[in-house]
Amino acid sequence: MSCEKSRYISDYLNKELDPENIIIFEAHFKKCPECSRVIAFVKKMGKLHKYPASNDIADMVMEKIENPGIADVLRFNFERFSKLVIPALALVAIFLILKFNPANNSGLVKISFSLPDHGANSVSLVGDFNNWDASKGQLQKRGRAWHGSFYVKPGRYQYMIVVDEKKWMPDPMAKEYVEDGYGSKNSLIDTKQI
Amino acid sequence: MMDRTVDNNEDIGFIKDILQGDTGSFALLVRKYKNMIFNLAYRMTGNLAEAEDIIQESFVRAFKGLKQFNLVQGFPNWLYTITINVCRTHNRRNKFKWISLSGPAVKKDEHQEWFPEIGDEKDNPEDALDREENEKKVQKIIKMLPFKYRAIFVLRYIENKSYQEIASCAELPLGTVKTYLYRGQKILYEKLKNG
Repeated sequence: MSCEKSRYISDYLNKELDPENIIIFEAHFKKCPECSRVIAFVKKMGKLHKYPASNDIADMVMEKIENPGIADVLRFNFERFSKLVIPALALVAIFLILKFNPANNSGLVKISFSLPDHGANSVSLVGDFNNWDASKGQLQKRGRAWHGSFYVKPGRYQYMIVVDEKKWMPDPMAKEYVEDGYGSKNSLIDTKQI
Repeated sequence: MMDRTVDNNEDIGFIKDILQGDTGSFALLVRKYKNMIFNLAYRMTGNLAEAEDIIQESFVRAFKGLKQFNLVQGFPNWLYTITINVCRTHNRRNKFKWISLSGPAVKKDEHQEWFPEIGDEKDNPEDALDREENEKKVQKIIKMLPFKYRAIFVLRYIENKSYQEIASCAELPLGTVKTYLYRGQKILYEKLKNG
């Protein structure tokens, strides 16, 4: 059982309810077991004795301010230290994760491609690394360029660009080209030269 | 009772003096606000000795951070913010001290040792005893509330603060303060029903 009207208890007790709502809620609170119990309790809270702090507090605080003990110095330094060290550790952790990510652990290298868009509907990259299968080499369009990354074993790979699933062309931004044996040229990427 | 603006101007006067090198003026702020934050710390922890440690630590932190004091928030609310943060640190430390948490929230002799004036009340001894028993029960249930709801409850139902003031003291959005009160009441009801 959970009473939705209990969210108005605080407003009711602190006299912040609208006059017309006071009567409605007052009637509800009287008969609702949940609300009446909560109200009775928080009213008791309001009547709790307010104990004064010791009169020596001011002297003790001033003593600590004027002569900070070794414990305070250490605690203060520890807090500052932790504020610096925790972000630093987080950065180191991120660096390590990036450096030794699963792809790298398995001995793979990431190769990334970005090609300027000239109004194509789709652009794929096919090559030795994906068995010349266009469905495994689709690039994504972001802004005015097509982007894509592949994880490959270190080595040299021949590849071609396929525009709109039919037009094959070499990568104009490739560093090397090789004859494909049919009178055309394949682009070539060497993972050592990335 | 002093007008709030006058009160605030007085605080700002003290703070200016302190920042200009008159460290001793800080004692005046401590005397002025020690009972206010002691009550919060005591209700948050249910332990008088711990509450004293907390308020000392809070005042020392306030002194060290006085340059960052936010004029708009006002000194008392800023002090509440610091105290809630110190209470949170103590609460985290206490999670590892499970033995002490299993004991009674407030020991009877602890009250008498710290506050002998309680015995001088006009109540007859039986009423005083009932009241004390009652207080213990209420305090025990406050302590059962999750920490993040506890401060909101103390500020709202013991200190009668507005939602806006609580939001400022607890560094929470106004809507969150109301949600915490609502959720806290649900937990409270479960504890009351089962207790």
